[in-house]
Amino acid sequence: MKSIIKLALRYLISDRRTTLLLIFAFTFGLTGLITVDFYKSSMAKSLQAKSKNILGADFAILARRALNSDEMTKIQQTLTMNFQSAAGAEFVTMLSASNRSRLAQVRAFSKEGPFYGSFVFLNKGAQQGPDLWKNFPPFGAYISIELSRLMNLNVGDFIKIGEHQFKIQDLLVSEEGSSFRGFQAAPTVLISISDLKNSPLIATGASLTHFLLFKFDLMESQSENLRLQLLEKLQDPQIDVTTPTRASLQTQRLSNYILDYLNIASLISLVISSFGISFLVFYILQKHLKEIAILSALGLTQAQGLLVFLFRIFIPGFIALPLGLILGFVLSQQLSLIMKDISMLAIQPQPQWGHLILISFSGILISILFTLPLLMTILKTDLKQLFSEGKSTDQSLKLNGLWLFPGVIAFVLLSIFLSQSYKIGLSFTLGLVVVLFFIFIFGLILRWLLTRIKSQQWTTRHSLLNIARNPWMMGASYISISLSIVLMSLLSHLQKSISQELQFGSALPSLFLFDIQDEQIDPLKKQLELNRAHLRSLSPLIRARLVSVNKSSFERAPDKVGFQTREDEVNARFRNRGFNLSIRDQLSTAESITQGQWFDGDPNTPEVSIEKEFALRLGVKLGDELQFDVQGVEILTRITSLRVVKWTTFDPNFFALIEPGIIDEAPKTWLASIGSLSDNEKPKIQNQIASGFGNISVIDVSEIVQRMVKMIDSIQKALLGMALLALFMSFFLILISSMTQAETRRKDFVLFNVLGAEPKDLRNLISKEFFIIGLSSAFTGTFLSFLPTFILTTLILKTKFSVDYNIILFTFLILPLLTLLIGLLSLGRASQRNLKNVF
Amino acid sequence: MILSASNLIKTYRQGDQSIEILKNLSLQVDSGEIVSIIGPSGSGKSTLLGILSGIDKPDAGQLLIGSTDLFALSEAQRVAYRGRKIGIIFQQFHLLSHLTALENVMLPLEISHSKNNSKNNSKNNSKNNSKNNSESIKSKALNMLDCVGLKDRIHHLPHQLSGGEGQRVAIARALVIEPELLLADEPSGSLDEKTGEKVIDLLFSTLRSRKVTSILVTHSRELAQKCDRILEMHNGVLV
Repeated sequence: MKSIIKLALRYLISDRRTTLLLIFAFTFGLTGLITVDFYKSSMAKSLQAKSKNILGADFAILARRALNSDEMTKIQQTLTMNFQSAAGAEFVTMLSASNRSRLAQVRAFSKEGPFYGSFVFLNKGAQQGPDLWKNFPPFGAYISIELSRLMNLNVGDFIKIGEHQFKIQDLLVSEEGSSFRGFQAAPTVLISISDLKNSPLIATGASLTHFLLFKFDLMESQSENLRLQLLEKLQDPQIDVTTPTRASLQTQRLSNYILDYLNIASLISLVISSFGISFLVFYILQKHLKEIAILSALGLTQAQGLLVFLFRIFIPGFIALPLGLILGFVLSQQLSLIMKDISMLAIQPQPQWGHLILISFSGILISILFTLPLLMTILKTDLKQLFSEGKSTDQSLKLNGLWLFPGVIAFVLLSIFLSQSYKIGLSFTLGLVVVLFFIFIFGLILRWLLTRIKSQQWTTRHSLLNIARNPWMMGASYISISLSIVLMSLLSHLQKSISQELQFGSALPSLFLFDIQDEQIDPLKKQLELNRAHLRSLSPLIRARLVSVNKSSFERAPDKVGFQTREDEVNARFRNRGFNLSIRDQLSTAESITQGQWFDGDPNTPEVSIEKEFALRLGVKLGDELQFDVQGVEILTRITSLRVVKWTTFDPNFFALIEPGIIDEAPKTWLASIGSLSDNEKPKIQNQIASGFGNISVIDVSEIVQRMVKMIDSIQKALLGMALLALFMSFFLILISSMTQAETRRKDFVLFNVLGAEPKDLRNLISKEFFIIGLSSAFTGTFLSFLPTFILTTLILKTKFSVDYNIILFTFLILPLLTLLIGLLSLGRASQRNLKNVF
Repeated sequence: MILSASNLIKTYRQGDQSIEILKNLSLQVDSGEIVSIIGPSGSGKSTLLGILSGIDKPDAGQLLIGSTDLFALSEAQRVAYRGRKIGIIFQQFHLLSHLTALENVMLPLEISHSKNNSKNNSKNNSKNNSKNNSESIKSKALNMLDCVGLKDRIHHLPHQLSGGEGQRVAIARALVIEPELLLADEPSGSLDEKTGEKVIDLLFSTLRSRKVTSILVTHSRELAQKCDRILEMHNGVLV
């Protein structure tokens, strides 16, 4: 083995240029993967370190309703160790002060909690959780500095929360705590739970989270066991038991979702770098095939010869690893800035090295596996060629395409692993194969068309001939650039379509209201009418629990051990949640029935209409029976229709609708929206609602839309970064393919010169070649991006397909020029005179 | 006299040593004459060929082809002159691998015609003229390939041709421009004896029938004896 590695190293040192190119190809191919993993593992580690602060406890029990005495007894019976506990509630509500009102996220704690957490106040400075309520007066509040700016409030001012006026004690500059809702919907307010006794804010039906926090001295594994015990006893899926680790995972959920897609996008760079590495391997083999025969003649077996070349490729991959890590670290800082816009999380670089190295090695392995069809030809080296005189030493490589399968399988597995989803991983791989196939077909058509072009200029003619007759060399550049353009264009058109839809797609309401009580509806309507505003889509919200499906108990999903896919996570979250039912006698404008029919008043079994995707996740279909527990009363229903809902209308819409007359008397709150208001009317009405109906929460829809658009922009930026990396890799591939054909091209250029062509003619020829490749790629990539975007927007997201003309302009104007430049840089030297050795 | 080379000197540096390859070499070749230059390896034959073709510049001396002082021309002019007036046959053929036999032979005409077209005023260069040029180029190339017996192989790529066929394409390419001077570097050097003989016979018959002034460089005395005159290269001079 030593001698084999020694031989491999000798090859590497003797052909430094190829070695260097291999190192760069591996480095750039790994960079995307490493960048994402660097950030992801840093995020996980950062949040894990702060997980107790995030949860505020060693253990927490959360519920969408107050726990009953039976449940409290079960909890006390299970927690046999010494512990401290604190209670609280978290909800969104309107605050008002002077003539301003604002939606805020209120966290109310009993004086014992939170047990952990780091809070930084403007005046008090840094405070730990337990110190928050020391010397804290009744009806005092801490508000976030953001809220103080929005509402022009200072310490000592009063804000109205619900029925009461709270005096601001200090301004919260920063905190390490996450909302149990998983998403910070609004700026934070901290108050004492005792100030909310009997408040309608925490009345039955209000949308809030009750929590119990516990502090005890247990190891993580013991906490986890305790959690499972409690979940077993507290069967209601509306009750969740969580640990600090789980809380930190919850915080990362949105970011992880986006990072999974980024990981997938980074695989495109890996694919293109694999092309480059294959080119280099092809070049190496062509150069050294005879030497392999010589080595065999000198006693090395062909298998050993194969090993020499495997090491020859693997060692540069190994060297590329630290380079990829450095580049990945640098780029992950940029990613961190973009992700901060989305997740509001500031992450310190703290990678999990083991995981990073595993991912990197997977990338290297896949690139090498893709070269197997080439490497396997070593096993078929014909020693007889050593005895042929005057024959060309270029033996054509007899490739066996079956050897591609290990690489393809490894790629699919990596896709699934990185996306944490079988569906996404397989769809991506299939989509990639389909896109590559179409690019290939387009390439064949373009190649045929190019051969039909008649030009009087010999440089044009010969540039076209070279493209048409060197399909592998030119084709690889064309395919990889086209692939990058498909990705860039797809992302740009998608972002444009979604943003356009959000901002202009429907007649968006100005305000969205929730937590409206029964008795508030009429007064609210009257109040609004005074301002010529009206409630629309007024819909009841009734909390329920799904008890059974077709008489089979619908139980909490058990925790899955080991690798959990996105689908598993969604399924688990889905099963471990309550249901919001509503009653409707007709479809809204945002809905349409896809199967079955709308409620027809069948007296036999109450009818329910389910949203289509919801039904898929539940695993139910038309005709199935769903048994709901509606706040203690069990109702058996039958699915009579499936619907699609356009959620981007921002009007009240529900996954499950029950026909009128079944649960009309159940305790409920109401949701509604208020239609188009001018910029002056909106704050006025918002303030009136806040001051007259303190428990009703009001969301400014346009603000939310703007936040969503900004988030989508940030996501698109991150994904576009990956696409640009892929494009950069494509240009690097041009460099590689040019280098591998430089010797041949140099001879050709020498001959052209001998026959009377000047260097400027040759530069002209090269420029045209690469310009045509760039233009063809631009055309192919742009055209092919339309179909997947169309499918994604119109069929899956149900939005209108909008075209981003900026990306088209960039593609057609800049890309061919860039390709030309790189072609000139890579082959320009070959075109310079070096005729002396022509004889 | 079609070629007159006077007192050509060429030295190369090898480390700190200067090696004089050509030492005041002079050569005269008459119109239609076929001259062979023989000499052992390293005698300076390739260097001389490089200078005679305008690819390399001597350190001193003069080279007249017809009335043109080759090294008084600029680089661009010299390249253009070579493309139009000097045909070269290489030992390794040096065909463009992605062009067919016909396209390889058309190539020098395309290059030289493009230079003529850009020199002429574009007003005269109507579309019809360009089309006629293309057709005439193709026609000349076809004729030339026919002359060398490759009428049926015009669409074949170099790797599809045998050694002899490849060299014949190279011959056709060199002669299609109707050169004032033909330079041949070991024209049968890469061929087996039988094929080489056939190719040489074809070459000579074509050269003589067209009265092409030619210089053949070879180390084969047998080939040299077919020529009108034999010159031997010794120590950088011709004897």
